[in-house]
Formats: sequence, C-alpha cells, structure tokens
Amino acid sequence: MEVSLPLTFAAGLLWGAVAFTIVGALTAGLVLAERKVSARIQGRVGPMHTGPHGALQTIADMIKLVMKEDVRPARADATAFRLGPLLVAVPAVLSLAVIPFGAPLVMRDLNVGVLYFLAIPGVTVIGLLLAGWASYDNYSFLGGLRSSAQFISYEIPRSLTVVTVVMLAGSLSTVDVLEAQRSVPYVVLLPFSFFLYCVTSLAEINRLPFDMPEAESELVAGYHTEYSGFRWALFFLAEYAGFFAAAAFGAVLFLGGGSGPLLPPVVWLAVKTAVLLFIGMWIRFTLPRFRADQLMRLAWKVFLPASLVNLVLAALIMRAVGS
Amino acid sequence: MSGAYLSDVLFLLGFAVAVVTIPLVTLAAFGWLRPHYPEALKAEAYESGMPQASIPRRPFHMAYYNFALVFIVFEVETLLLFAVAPILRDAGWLGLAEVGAFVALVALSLFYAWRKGALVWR
Repeated sequence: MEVSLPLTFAAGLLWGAVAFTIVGALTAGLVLAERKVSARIQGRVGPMHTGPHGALQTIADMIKLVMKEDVRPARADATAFRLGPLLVAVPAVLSLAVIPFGAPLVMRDLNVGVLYFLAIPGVTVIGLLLAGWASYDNYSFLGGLRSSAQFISYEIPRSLTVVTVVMLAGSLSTVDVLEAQRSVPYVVLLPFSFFLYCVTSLAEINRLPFDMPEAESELVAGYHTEYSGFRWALFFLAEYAGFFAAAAFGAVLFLGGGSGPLLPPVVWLAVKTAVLLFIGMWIRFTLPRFRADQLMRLAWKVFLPASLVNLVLAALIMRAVGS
Repeated sequence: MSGAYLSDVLFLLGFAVAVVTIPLVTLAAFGWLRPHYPEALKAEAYESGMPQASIPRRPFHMAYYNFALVFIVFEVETLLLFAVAPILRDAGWLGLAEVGAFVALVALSLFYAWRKGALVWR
C-alpha cells in the first residue's frame, strides 16, 4: 500500500486532469439536458438544429466560448478580476476527489472526506466576492455580496445535516459512509436529513428557487455580469460541477451510492445522481424565486433550527438502531 | 499515520495543481485564436446603455456584517460537532448527553441572536 511520495503527487496530477475532463464533459451533457428538460416543461422543443435533435449544441457553444474576445472593464481590478473565476471553478472540481464512484473506485479515500467535501467549496465565497468587487460594476458588486451571504448562511444547516450521517456511519470517510449503508440506505433512517440536504444544497449552488444572486430581472447577471468568453465559461463550469457534485454526494450519503442489484456500481451511482439532478432541474423550472430577505430568514429562522432538531432526532434514531 | 497524512496532502496538492493549470493553459492557448479589438466603449461597465450611474466602491448594507458575525460563531460550533460525530455511536448515553448539552448551548445562542434582532434583514 505504501507508495513513494512523488508517485502520489503524480497520481494527484493525473486524477486532477481526469476530474477536470469529467467536469467539462458533464457540463456539456448537463447543459443540454437542462435545456431539453426546461423546453419540455415549458412546452417548447429546445435546441434542434446542431446535430440530431440539437445534441451537439453545447459542443458548439463551448467552441464559441473559448473563441470569444476576453473583455475586461477599464476600471476593473485586473488581478482580482482574473482570480475570481478561478477561485469559483477550482474548488468545485476539487470536491470531486472524495466522491466514491463505485464501491472501490474513489480518487482519494481521505479519512476526513466528508468534511473535505463541505470545506473545500467554502473557498468559492472568496471567488464570488472578488469577482463581484473587481468588476467595478454595481450589479456585480451587489450580486457578489448577495451570493456570498447566501452561501455562508446555508452552509451551516447543510453541514449540521451532514453531521447526522457521520454520526450514524461512525466515520468521516466517504467510503466508510457507503459501507455503513450496506443493509439500509440512510434515506430510510434519516428522511428528514435527506430533505434538508437537498434543499440547502440547492441554495448552496445558487440554483432556483435560490438563484437570487443571479436574478436577471434585478441584477442583470449578478457577480458575472462583466465576464465574457472563457472566464464566464469558468463560472458556468463551476455551477454545473457544483450541481453534479452535490447530487452525487447526496446519492452517496443517503441513497447508498453505487449499491444495487445486477448493474455495476458506477451505473447505479449514475442513475441515482441523474434522478437527483433531474429533480433539481424540475424544481428550477417550476418554482418562482425567493426575495433576498426571505432567503436569509429561511436560512436562519427555519433551516438552522430545523437542522438542530434534526440532530437530536438523528441521535435518538442512532441509539435505537445502533444496538 | 503521519505518512498516510503526508501522502494525502501531496495527492491533493497534485490534484489542485492540475485543476488550476488546465484552465490557465486553455485560456493562454486560445489567446492567439480569439479576436482582440479593444475599444473604449466596450471597456465601459454595464449599465443598460447609459454611462455608469454610480460608483460601486461605496458603503453597503449593514445586515451583511451581522450575518457574517453570526456565521463565524455557528460555523465554528458546527466544526466542533464534526470532531465528535464519528465516535458518538459508541459513546453511550453519557457521551450523548454531553454532546446534547453542547447542541442545547448552540440552540441557546441562536435563540439569543434571534431575540437581539441579529437575524432580521433591515
């Protein structure tokens, strides 16, 4: 098991490259899926012209995005403007490192994997603030502030909810959490935790009904108003990487990850993740958006007390099941 | 133990280096393929067609400060829970009661912040 350290570093490099490639491909797929799902819900057909039934549309979009001019406002802070999108996109990809894609297939089984998954995206807040502030634009500035306030507010109930899973599994490693669900997936034991996780995750990744930082009717495009081309694409990549990571992590924490009859684990995880992703898209095109103050009230006065109650509830469940 | 820790850190370091490098290289590589026509108007901040109405470097809403403060308190408390959560299963009723007391304290501080009006957006 003991491998030389330079080799470990090289393995990290390799898996990092793989993770970034996966995220790129996933973003293309998810954007197309989202456009088709939204079209279906709104009674349209969606993209139809590039490739069969518009299947190549996002590939074309990606080529367009890397070929677009890189515009920066004259009064923007150049360094912070460049750093912002990186600090948003990189943590989103980094969080994939601990997701067990099959029973043994995980990029790195950290002994603090669950905590890592919650902590790394915390860096995103700095990126959002930097991007919003550096753009020297009122919409960006307000959008950046709102996003970061929303992000940190929902991080607490979300973390408290994940604590319940850690309690039952008795480990912070994502692989151990998966192992512990051999007999019963945690969605059965902790249905309320699962609900809280899904809702707070939607808020954490800035999606409707919590996409207020990007509310186009009041903030144009929020913190990424001034971005174009590849730098804008990084924000987009981060959004879908975060969306996917949250869904896959939810499938691992509550739905037993890759466990299931007949099919290989990777397929089962993909199916469960896809179901969660679809529900996320469904919600996006069905519910209206919250107002800024409603959003904060919901986080602190509903979800935080609810997650504390849920913690006590989970402790009782743990005692009842554990023996 | 520390060897495993070191290799975990090194792995993540490599992972991060790759994830940071790829977008930077992509950005540079397409640098000489994409158009570059600088223009004064293009570099103007977005304001639906008119000159920028107000300067964005200005004081902002006080409420953000309140929420940031409360956030730090609760985030630290949540982190402490992560430290005890994995061993709670085998800790018996006494251990559970101790952590329960801590959670009650957290709830109390939430109640305090609530009563003091720190959770109101105004």
